[in-house]
Amino acid sequence: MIEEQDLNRLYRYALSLSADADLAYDLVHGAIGRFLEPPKPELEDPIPYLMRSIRNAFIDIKRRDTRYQHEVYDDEGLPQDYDIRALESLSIDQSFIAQLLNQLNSQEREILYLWAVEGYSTSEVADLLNMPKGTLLSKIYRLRNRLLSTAFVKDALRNGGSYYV
Amino acid sequence: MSKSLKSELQDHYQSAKLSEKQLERLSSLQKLNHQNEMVEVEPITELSHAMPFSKRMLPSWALACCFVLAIISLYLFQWRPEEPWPKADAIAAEVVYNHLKQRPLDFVESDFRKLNQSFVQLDFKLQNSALLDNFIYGGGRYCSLLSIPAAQIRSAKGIQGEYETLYQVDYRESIFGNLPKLLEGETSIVRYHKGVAVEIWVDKGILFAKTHSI
Repeated sequence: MIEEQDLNRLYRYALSLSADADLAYDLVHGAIGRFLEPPKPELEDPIPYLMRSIRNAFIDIKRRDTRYQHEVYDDEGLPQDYDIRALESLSIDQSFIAQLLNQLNSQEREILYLWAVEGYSTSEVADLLNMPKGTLLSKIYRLRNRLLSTAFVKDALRNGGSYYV
Repeated sequence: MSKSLKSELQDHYQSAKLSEKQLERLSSLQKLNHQNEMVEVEPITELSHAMPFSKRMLPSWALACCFVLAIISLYLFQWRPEEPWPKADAIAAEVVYNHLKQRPLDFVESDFRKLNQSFVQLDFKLQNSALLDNFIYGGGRYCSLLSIPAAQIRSAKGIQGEYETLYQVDYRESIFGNLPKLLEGETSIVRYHKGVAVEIWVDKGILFAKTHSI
């Protein structure tokens, strides 16, 4: 039995992907339904499995929709030692957070959610997103630049430290 | 006032919750499934109420004793069951489940090269394999196998109107367990589920699972 706390956790993850409360609920409902269908997988912690299931269903629904861009980046020339912690120094005014999320695509919101709310490391995010770590690092590099190009996000270390680890 | 982006994202998402009604529906869904699982054992329980407690418990005790004896025997004789292909049955079950569903195709394409180009969202390329000599491609759709994104390919319609389903997925031993690899001289294995035979093998780093008409 998946408890209320975990159901809400799955719902928030679905919300980060879809940015739509109704679709997020449908994704969670669908994932639970599939999870209970035989052959039921025997798992100690079903949450990562359910998150993958939600993600796959979302991609399935949106694959013909331009809202989910499966972009292929050319990694050449981009720093490969960039880390997801490079996002730590960014700040924003609370009143702009919803506006910012509206400007991001599904994958960008998903990366931010996994980093900020789930506390995933770069490797864990790459694993869940099923992409090579180098590709993810390039995405983070571009995402950070994109966030800073909006009027909402500021960099506390703009004139100071380094993000390279 | 500006706060860190991380903390604002946390506040933003933590404030999102399922409504009481939605939680209730999800709980009912889980309970309903649990009840369905229990249906098969209920008649035995009802029958056992008619018997005295000691007799009612006797089969359970006998079963428990047999189980303990079996465990002790296995431990003493250091026997280890061999499971060369631990995930083969789970793979076959999922392939057959989707084979029987016959969901609509995303791409109707008989040319292998063009079909391969159609699956732009996969992080692997479809491959031909020596065991696919007689397979005539009809089209494909995105799918998943043990939660890993996969290509579900359907054959062209056979003489008697039958279809074959072929799965191709990036083979990861940590997920799919050990499976026979053609390049290492191993031969494919066949597992049956719901009366459908599924042939499973690994070739060129790709896991192949194909249903057979029987």
